[in-house]
Amino acid sequence: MKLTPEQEAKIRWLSDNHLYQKAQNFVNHCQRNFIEGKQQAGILEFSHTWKELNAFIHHQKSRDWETISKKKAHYKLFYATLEEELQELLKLVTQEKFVTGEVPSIKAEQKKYNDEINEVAGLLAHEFIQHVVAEMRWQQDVVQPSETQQQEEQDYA
Amino acid sequence: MNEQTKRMQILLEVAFEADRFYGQIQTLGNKAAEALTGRKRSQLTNLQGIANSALKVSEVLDYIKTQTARDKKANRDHGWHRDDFGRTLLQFIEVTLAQTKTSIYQRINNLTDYDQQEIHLLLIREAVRQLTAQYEFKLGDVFHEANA
Repeated sequence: MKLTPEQEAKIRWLSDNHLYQKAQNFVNHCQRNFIEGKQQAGILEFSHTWKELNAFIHHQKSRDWETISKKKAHYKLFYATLEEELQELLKLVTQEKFVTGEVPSIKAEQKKYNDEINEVAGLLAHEFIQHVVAEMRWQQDVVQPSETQQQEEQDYA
Repeated sequence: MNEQTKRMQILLEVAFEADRFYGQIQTLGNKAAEALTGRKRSQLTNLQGIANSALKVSEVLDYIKTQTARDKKANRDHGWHRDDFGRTLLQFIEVTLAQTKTSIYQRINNLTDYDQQEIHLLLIREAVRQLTAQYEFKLGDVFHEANA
């Protein structure tokens, strides 16, 4: 699927005006139960295609983190929540009319239709993941725990 | 209003606002010189490169967050974390320049959401250009004082 310049502009706009805030909310919601640097690099690495990213996150979610290390027990919840966030991006593709029309009834066309949705969702996911990782690093290393708590309260207000 | 007139009006408004925030950027440029010193000059050059080529505001914000976090984590003597430089710059772009962008948006008719994004990017480029100039100027000053 070749994106039109208008679609590319819309992705950039969504990245600044929707996904950036969505990433901040997600990170605040984690309440500092983040994943380590290697894991962050992992999601960034796999965020270039929708299929690989989902497979990676699903795999990480399925691991028995508690047995691996007590300190990493929260990783399961982190990946499960991230997976939910990604599913919302699929809805965004149709809401924002990147792909229009009814779901085709012919199987071959259905595949093409789904591939187009997945491709745009992948681009949105790449933007989202970049914001998540930057925000996580920022909160982990720069922001004091008391500030995170204040932000969390503001988000819910 | 045709595209050319609109574009010209945007550039005029951005130039006007850039003169208004010049004082604030001077303070930030001095902070940058103290925090980064001459050893991290390339990082400011990188920031300028990113600001000039960015098509999204968040590209610049993510870069500042990542650099600040990296320096803070490594507990370096100099870096974006020193003297709250990274945090102040982030806030300036996220809050002050966003307000300026909105004010320009309200002064020009028939602008789109994409124009707003473009205005924010133009303001960032101008701010980073001023910041880099003041940083170099301040570094020269510090060097001069050290050798006096």
